[in-house]
Parts: sequence; C-alpha cells; structure tokens
Amino acid sequence: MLLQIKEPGQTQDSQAASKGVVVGIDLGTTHSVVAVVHEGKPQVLSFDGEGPLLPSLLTIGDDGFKVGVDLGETLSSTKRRMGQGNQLLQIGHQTLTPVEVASKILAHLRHLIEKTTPLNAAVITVPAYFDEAARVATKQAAALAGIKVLRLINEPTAAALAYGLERKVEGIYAIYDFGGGTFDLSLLRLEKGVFQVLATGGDLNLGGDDIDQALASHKGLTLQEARLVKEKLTKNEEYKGINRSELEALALPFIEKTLFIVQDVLKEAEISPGEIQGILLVGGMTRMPLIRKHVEAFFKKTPLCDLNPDEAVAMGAALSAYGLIHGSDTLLLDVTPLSLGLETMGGLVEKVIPRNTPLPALASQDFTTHENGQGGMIIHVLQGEREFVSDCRSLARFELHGLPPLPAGAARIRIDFAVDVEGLLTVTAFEKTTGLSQHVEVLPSAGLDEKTLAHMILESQKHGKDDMQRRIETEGNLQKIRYTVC
Amino acid sequence: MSDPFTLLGLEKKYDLDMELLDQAYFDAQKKTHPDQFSNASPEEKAEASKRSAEINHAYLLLKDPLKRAELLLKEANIDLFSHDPLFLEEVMQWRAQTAAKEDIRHDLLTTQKTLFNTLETTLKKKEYQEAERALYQLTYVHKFLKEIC
Repeated sequence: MLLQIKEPGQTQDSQAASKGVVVGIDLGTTHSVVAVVHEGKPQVLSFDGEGPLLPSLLTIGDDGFKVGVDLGETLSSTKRRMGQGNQLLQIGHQTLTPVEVASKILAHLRHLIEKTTPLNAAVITVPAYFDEAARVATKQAAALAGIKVLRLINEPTAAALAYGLERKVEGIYAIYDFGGGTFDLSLLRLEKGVFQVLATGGDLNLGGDDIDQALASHKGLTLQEARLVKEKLTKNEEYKGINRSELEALALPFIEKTLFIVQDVLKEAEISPGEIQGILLVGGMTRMPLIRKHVEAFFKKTPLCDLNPDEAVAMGAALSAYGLIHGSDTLLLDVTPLSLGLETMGGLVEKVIPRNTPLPALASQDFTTHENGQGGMIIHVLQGEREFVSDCRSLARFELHGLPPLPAGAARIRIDFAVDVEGLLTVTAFEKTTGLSQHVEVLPSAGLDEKTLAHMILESQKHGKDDMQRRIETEGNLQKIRYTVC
Repeated sequence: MSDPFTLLGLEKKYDLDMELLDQAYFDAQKKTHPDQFSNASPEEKAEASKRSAEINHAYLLLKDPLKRAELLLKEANIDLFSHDPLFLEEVMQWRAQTAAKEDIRHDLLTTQKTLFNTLETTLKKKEYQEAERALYQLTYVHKFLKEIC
C-alpha cells in the first residue's frame, strides 16, 4: 500500500485521558473563550478577574508581552492573517508572525486554566472556511503554546454540537456565524446523535471588524470607540450622538454580503430556504438587531439564539473534547470547505477533491508526461474554486524526479490526496510504468515533531530579536519541511 | 475496495430508499469514523481514516442518481458511454435556444424526469442497453441544467 496517512499528533504519547482537564477553545478574532464539560454539561470558564470573553489582543509592556489587555501598543485581529505565508507583525521593537501571536494567546489561556488544574488536551475551533494553511498554522500555534490538540473542529459545527446536544434540536439547520473577523455559513443535518454537515461557505475577511472600520472612518473615531458605539447601539437607539440608523446604513452592505453567501451555499446543497428547520445565530455580530431582521426575512423564520452567541462555539468544542477522551455516541461528519486540485497544462487547475466532500476523503488522479524522455514533473497542489492557478491558493509545490525515459504520454503518475477529519491534507505521488515505483509524500507540518518546531522558533528568536531575515527563513523552513519530498 | 452497495450493506438496486442509505451510512461511520479512535494507536487511526474515507466515497456515489446507475451498469459489464450524434445535435439546439434567450428550463426538467423514469424501469427489468442510453442522455441534460440554472 503506497498511500500513507500521517495523523497529526502521532508523535505524542497516546496514553490518552491521563492527568488534567480537557477543554474546548474558541480562538476568536476578537475574543477567545474556554469551556469545559462539568458533570455532563458544557460550561464556559471565567478566570479570576478575566473572562469568559478574553480579548485576543497582544500588547507589550516593560516586562514583556501581555495578553488580553491594552497597554497602548497592541496587535489585534491577527487571526485574519493565519496561514498567509511569511507575514511579520510589528509591536514595539519586536516582530512576530501571526502563528507566534496566536501561540502567545493560547499560552495565556493555558496559564489561566492551569492556575486551577493541569491542562491535558484541547479541541480548538477554526472558521469552517479556513484553508489548509490556516489550519496547519493554528496547530503550530498550539504546539508552540504546549497545548496538545485533540482535534480542530469548525466553529459553526461546534455551535451546532452545542445546540444539538444541549437543546436537542433536529432537522436541517443553517448556522449563521458572524464573528469579529470571519463569516461562516454551514448547513447541517442534525438527528439522533449525528451531525452531518451538508455544505459550508464563508468569507475570511468579513466580520464585525469591517463594520467597526466603516463606522470609525465615517465618524472619525478610533476602532475601539467605534466598536463600543456599535455594541451600545444593540440595545440603545442612540449613543454618543450617533443613531442606530447611521450604523445600520454602514453595516447593510456587509450584511448583504453574508446573505449572498447564504444563497450560494443553499444552491450548492440544493436546499431551499423553506427546507431549513431552524437558524442558529453564532458570533457576537449576530446581536445586531438589523442582522436578526435580515436573517429572519431571508429564511422567513425566527432564528434561535437561546445559547449565548459568544459562547456556543466554545461549549461545542468542550463537548467534542469530552467525547473524544471519554468516548461518545455522537458522530460529527464535516466537509472540506474548498476544492483541492493540481496544476495542469496552461496554468489551469484540475480539481481532485471538490468542496463540500465529506471528510476524511481520499481521491486519486492519473497524470502523464508531455515530452519524450521527460525525467521529472512539477506537482503543484492548490486550493480554491477558480479555474486558473493564479486565482487559487498554492499549498505545495514539489518535483517528482527520476521518471523512466519513456515516450510522451507513456508514463503513468498517480497522485493521491488524503484529507483527514481536521481538513489537513497529505499528498502522495508515485510513478509505476516500469514496475519500479517512486514514492513522494507531502506532509502537513502538524505532523512535525513539536519539539523541533519549538526549537526552530526559539533559535530564531535567540539570534537577535530584530533579525527579521532569520525569522522569514524559519517560517520558510517550516514550509519546506512541511512539503519535504522523501 | 469492495463495491459501494456491499460496503454499506445495501441491496444492489437503483431505487434505493434515501433514508435507508443515510441510515446505513451513519451506522457504518459510527463504527469507523476516526473520532471513535482518538485513543487508539496511530496505525489503527490511519486504518480507520482510510475506511471512513471509503465509506464517504461509497455514500457519495450511491446518493448521486447518475453515479448510482453507472455503478449498476458497470456491475452488469455494460460499456459506457454510447455515442449518439443525433442526440448531440439536440444538445446543440438547446445551446442555440439558450443563447437566443429562450427559456427551455421547463422542457428540460420534463425531459429529465422522463429519463429518470426510463432509467429506473429499465434497470429494474435489467434492460441494460436501454438504461445505458437513458443515462447517456441524462448526463447531458443534467450538465446543461446545472449550467443554466
């Protein structure tokens, strides 16, 4: 069997359910929330003076980094940059990658949890529409923070889990998840312990932040002020001389954008709004009365919001973590949010696994050479819905060497794709024309030994805090290791 | 990999009860889904992931009315697809009509329905050549409807 699936986390000691608590972490764009299952019920955690909503904010003071408070200079909403290559963020005299910022936030959460009880492991949530690179980046951040990740799950799916298990809802549900930084819409079928995702869609750059921005620039406010005004206008018609209707006029284009996505996902799943049993509202933005009004008008149904929209995701993650450790009758069937494919002639993308395919998924595609005696072949793995390579996200690029000298079109190269339940991809290629087979693997970096990973980043920090070049190389190396050709 | 019907423990027939299919799928996944193996060894996890993916694949094939027919025809050793220049001319006609802003959706939906009926009855009677022909045409109708809807 040539196909191999590397399970992330397999390097870890699998003596599960050892010591300590298992938690669910909603690592949000603006806030993070931690929940546990206590006596069979999910509960969000409040920490001495902090929480349950912990600002996903990194600041720098005289004695180093601090999370969750604002000491003047801060990094916020860095989740939006996860998995986007070698981006560097400036804070004080420091430069950090989005992965490092996330790891500091996670380390802070871990520290808060461990004030009372050791942390065994966590389920961390990600936007359903997160691509593969952003998922891998999230796992890297957790590894750097010393948190063992049981599994990543999608935010809307986690919310559905919370509603399904806590409120016993059944039927086809739409989960409308409008958070600080991202928008997700998932359609799920819920019945008898089965949570089947039928389709999902979203926009990673559409969130409450955008509305804050619009209000800030319209009224000449800072982002913090704009956010406060926005939040106050949920209950009040007027705040600091700004009317709710002014905010609503600015918010409307963003709300309409979400409804276009809803429409697309319904169409893709061939489900009409009337077939939807109920709508679950998740994410802080769904408190906005105008959003509720539009969602209600679209589905012609009053959305459910009896779980706190800021807490439902973490609660679902806690339920998932508990189930993974203690065993559970609940079945979670999620899908891949974006199509996965390969570059073919003329810069076109051949889809190998279409979006909304249930996970885990395996698929293969055969390729051949187009020149006589061609000795190698570039394999370029992409993610996205567009036809052209230039419009899709490049996930990996590697070369298959030592093909036997054969006439054009005679070689047979098979490329296998394996996507695990977390949405992480492994690509294996082999060539089998002459009976000799060559085997190439693309490994997700989450499979990388975590000590090595941490060591690499530490090393880069030790050699000069301002050494940006080195930092770039480090992340570059991670990318390289991630796609090492064995 | 065994055939999708066997994998999900279902009778090999075209008019599958979709609820039964879902149930069989959920039951199979409850036994194999990787989440059920989170405390298992890496090898067991890998095996579960592979089997779970096969079950997902089988489910997708059986759920799709065109792919399900294709499976049954392959099982009966029928070659896919026939070539029918006359029918292709008809397809060209649809293109021309659509380009001329003529709404042929209703007609095509009726055609699609008739063809599905033919497919179902012929497969039941094991009239495979007729079934193959219906599937051939359906493939075009389906694709075309997807493009214009």
